[in-house]
Amino acid sequence: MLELDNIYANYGSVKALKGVSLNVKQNSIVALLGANGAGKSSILKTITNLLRPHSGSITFLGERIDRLKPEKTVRKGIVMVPEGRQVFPELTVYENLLIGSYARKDRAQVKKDFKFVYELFPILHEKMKDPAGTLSGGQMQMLAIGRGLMSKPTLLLLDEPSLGLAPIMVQEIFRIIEEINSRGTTILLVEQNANMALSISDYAYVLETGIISNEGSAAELQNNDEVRQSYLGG
Amino acid sequence: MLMLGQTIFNGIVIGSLYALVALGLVIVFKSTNRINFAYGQMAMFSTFIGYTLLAKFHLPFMLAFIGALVFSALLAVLVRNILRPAKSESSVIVATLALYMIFTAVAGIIWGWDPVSFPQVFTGEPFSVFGIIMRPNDLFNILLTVILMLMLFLFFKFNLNGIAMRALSQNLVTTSLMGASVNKLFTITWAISGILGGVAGILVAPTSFLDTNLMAVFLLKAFTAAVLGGFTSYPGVVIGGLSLGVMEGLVSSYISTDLMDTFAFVLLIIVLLIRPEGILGKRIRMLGKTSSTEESGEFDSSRPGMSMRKKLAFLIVSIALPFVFQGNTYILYFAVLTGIYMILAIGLDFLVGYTGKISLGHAALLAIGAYSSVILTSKVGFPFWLALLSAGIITGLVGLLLGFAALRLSGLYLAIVTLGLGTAVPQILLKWDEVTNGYTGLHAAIPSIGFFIIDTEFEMYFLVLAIVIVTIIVTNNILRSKIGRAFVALRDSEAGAEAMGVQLAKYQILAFVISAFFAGIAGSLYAHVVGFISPADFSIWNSLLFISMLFIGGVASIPGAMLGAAFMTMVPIFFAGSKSISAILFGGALLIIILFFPSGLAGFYKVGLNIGKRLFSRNSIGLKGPAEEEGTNVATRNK
Ligand SMILES: Nc1ncnc2c1ncn2[C@@H]1O[C@H](COP(=O)(O)OP(=O)(O)O)[C@@H](O)[C@H]1O
Ligand SMILES: [Mg+2]
Repeated sequence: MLELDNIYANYGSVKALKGVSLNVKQNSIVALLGANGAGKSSILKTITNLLRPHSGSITFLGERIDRLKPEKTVRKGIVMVPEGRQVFPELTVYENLLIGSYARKDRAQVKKDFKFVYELFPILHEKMKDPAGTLSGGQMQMLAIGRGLMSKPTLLLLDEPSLGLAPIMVQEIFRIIEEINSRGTTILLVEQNANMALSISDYAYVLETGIISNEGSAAELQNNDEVRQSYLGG
Repeated sequence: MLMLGQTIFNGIVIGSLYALVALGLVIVFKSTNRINFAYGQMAMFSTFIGYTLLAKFHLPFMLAFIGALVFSALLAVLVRNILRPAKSESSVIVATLALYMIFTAVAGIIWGWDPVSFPQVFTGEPFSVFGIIMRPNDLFNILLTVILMLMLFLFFKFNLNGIAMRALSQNLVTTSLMGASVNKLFTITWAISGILGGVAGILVAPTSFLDTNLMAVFLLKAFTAAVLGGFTSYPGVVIGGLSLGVMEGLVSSYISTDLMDTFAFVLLIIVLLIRPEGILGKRIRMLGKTSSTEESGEFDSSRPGMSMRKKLAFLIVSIALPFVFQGNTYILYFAVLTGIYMILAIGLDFLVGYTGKISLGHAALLAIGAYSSVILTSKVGFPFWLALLSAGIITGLVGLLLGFAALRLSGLYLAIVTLGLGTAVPQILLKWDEVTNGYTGLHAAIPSIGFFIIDTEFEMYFLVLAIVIVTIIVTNNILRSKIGRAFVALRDSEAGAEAMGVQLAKYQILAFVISAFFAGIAGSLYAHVVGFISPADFSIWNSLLFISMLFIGGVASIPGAMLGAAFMTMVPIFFAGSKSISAILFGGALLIIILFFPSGLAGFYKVGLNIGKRLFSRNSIGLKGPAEEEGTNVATRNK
C-alpha cells in the first residue's frame, strides 16, 4: 500500500534519514521503533511531505506522492496524528473534530463518523463543548486520534500516541488502535514503547540514526536478541 | 442626563467604526502575526474607488459600495502577496509603511490632495428617541456594523473555513495536516480584513471629508481599540472600539473638545503600561511575543564607521561645496537641510540599527526639539547655543520615557506607541496655541553665537557642518567604546548579548536617549535655519520619510544614514517638490530594499557586485530564495 524507497532527508545540514526503505501492507499495523532522535518522526513527516525528501521515492496505492503538498496527501487518505498531540487548544473538542473533516466532501458521512468517534471515545462526547486546551493528556491524545479519524484515513500515521500517558491510558489507546485497524484502516505506528507496539503489530522496523537496522514480523523481532537488549528491556 | 445619553449614542456610532477597523487589523494579526500599518491607507484608497464609482460613473450607492468592497478585498490580497518575502516582524512593519506611502501618493495623483465630500447613504432628517437625536445615517452605521460582526461571528463559529482560520492562528503546521490549504486560508483572512477596512472607510468618509488622510488618525484609534481589547480577542476588540468611542465622547463633552484626539494616545500608553494584554486578552497570546532569534541582527550592514580615506574625502567635499556654490543660496539651503537630516538619521540609526526597534515618531521628536528651542530663545531668552543644547536634552528626556516604555513592550507595540506619539504631538501643538501659536506656527530667532550672527545660508552651512562633524565624532567614539561593542552585540543577537553580560535594559534605554537627543538637536537647527515652524512640518508623514531615508541609505552604518539623508533631500528637488512622485520613489525604494535587500544600498551594491561576478565567472552565487510562507514555514524543505 505504502512504499518508501531509499529516502534521504535533511534538516539544513542535519542528515535525518539516510536511505530508508519500508513497506506497509494494506490492513496491517506496522510499527516503527527506535530511540529518541533516530528519525521516526522524520519518516512520518516525509510521508506527509512536511519534510521533503531530497532523494528517493514514496508511493501510495501505486501513485508517487513525494511531491504532494501536506494538505493534498490528506485528500489521498493519508492522515497523520502528530507527535505531542497538537490539538487546537482554543477550539472546542467538537470544533477540533470538525476540522479533521475539513477536506471531505461527503458531509452526510461526516455526521456518522462523529457518532463513531464519540462511541470510540465517550469522554469526547461528554466534553464536546470544552476548549481542547482544558483536557488531560490522555484525553488530548484521544482527541488527536479522533480528529485523525474524522479525516477518514485509509492509512493512519500515529506518532508516539502513548508518550507521557499513564499505563492504564496506554492500554486503552492501544486497544483503540487495534479496533480502528480491525475496521479496515491501515496503521503505521511510531513508538518508543516497543513491547506494547510489537504486541499489536504485524510487522516492525527498527530505526537507528536514520537507517533501518532491523525489520521483521513482530514475533521475529521479539525473539531477536539485539532488539530485545536495546528496546525490550533485555 | 440627556446629554449623557446623546454622548453615549454618538460614542457608539463612532466606536463601532473603530471596532471595524480594529477587527480588520486583528484578524490578520491573529493568523499571520503581522500588523498592517498601511491598513488605513488601503481603506482610504478603496473609499476613493467608491467615490469614483458614485460621482463619476453615477452608479447607485449599493453598487458603488459593493464595487469598493470588492476592490478593497483584492487590494488586501495583493498586499498580502507583496509582503510575502518579508521575514521578520520589523521588516513587515517597514514594508507596510512603504505601502502606506505608496498608496497615499498614488491616491494623491489620481484624486488630488484636496478634500472632496462623500455623500451620506441616508440623507433623511434626524429624529429623536427618548430625547436622543439620531440621524438615519448613524443608525445605518450601527446596523451595518452589527450585521458585519454577527456575520463574522457566525463565520468563525460555524463555517469550516472560519474554524480553520482560528485553527491556523493556533498551529499552522497541524492545520495543513487537516487538509486545509494554508495559502487559501491566508487569502481569505486578508480579503475579510480588506472588506472590513473598506466598509469602515465608506462609513467614515461622510462624517468628515474624503482626502488621503481620511484614515490616518483612525488607524491610531483602531490600534487603541485593539490594544484596549487585548489585541487577540474578537469580542474584546469590539468592546474596546465601543468603549473608546464612548470615552472620547465623554472627554469631549465634559472635559475639553481639544483633548479628544490626544485622549486615544494617552489611553493607549496607559493601557500598554498597566495592562498590556488588554481588557479581555489572554496573557499567553500577547502581541509580539516573538522569538528573539528572528528579531535581531536582521538589519545587518557594513561596518558602522568610515575609513580614514572616506572621512578625508567627506571633509574636503563638504568644505569645498559652499565655496563652489557660494552664490547659489538654493543649493546651499538644501545642503544645510541635508546636514540637519543627517544628524537626525544618525540618531534614528542608533535605535533602528542597533536595537531593531522601529520608531514612527521621530518627526514628533524633531518637533519637540524645534519647539523647545524656539520657545526657549524667544520666550525665555536663552542664547542660541544653550537653546540648541537644551532642545537636545529635553528631547532626550522624552527618549528616556520612550525607552522605559519600550522595555515593557515588544517591537510591534513600540511601533504602535511611536505611531501614537507621532500622531499626537502635532495635534497637541495645534491645540496648545497659547504657547505654540497653533496652526499659524512660530517664528524662530536667527541663530547667533556670541556677537556672531548666522544669517546667511553660507554661514548656516558651516554651523550645521560643524555640528554634523561633532555628531559623527561623538557617534564614532560611542560605537568604538565598550558601549558601542555592547550595541553591536545587541544588534547581532539579543540573547547573545545577554549571555555576554550586556545589560539589555540599560543599552536599550541609552539607544533611545541618544536617538532622541540627536533628533532634538536636529529639530532646533531645523527651526532656526528654516526660520519658521508649524505643526504641519512634523506630521507622521515625515516620520515615514525618515524611516525610508534610513533604510534606503543602509541601516547600522553612519555613511548609510548620511547617504539616506542626502537622498531624501535631493529627490524632491529633482521632482520639483512633487509630493506624489517623491513619495512613490521613497515608498517604492523602501519596499524593494526591505523585501529584497535588507541591508540597504550597501547591501544593494553587494548584490549587484555578486551578480556581476556571476556573469563573469559563471560561478553561481546563490541569492536567498523567496519566502515559503508568512511567519512560519509550513514545511522544512531541504535542497
Ligand atoms: N525541525 C528540525 N530541525 C533540525 N533538526 C531536526 C528537526 N527535527 C528533527 N531534527 C533532527 O533530526 C533527527 C531525527 O529527529 P526525529 O525524526 O524527530 O527523531 P525521533 O522522532 O525518532 O525522535 C534528530 O537528530 C533531530 O535532532
Ligand atoms: Mg519523534
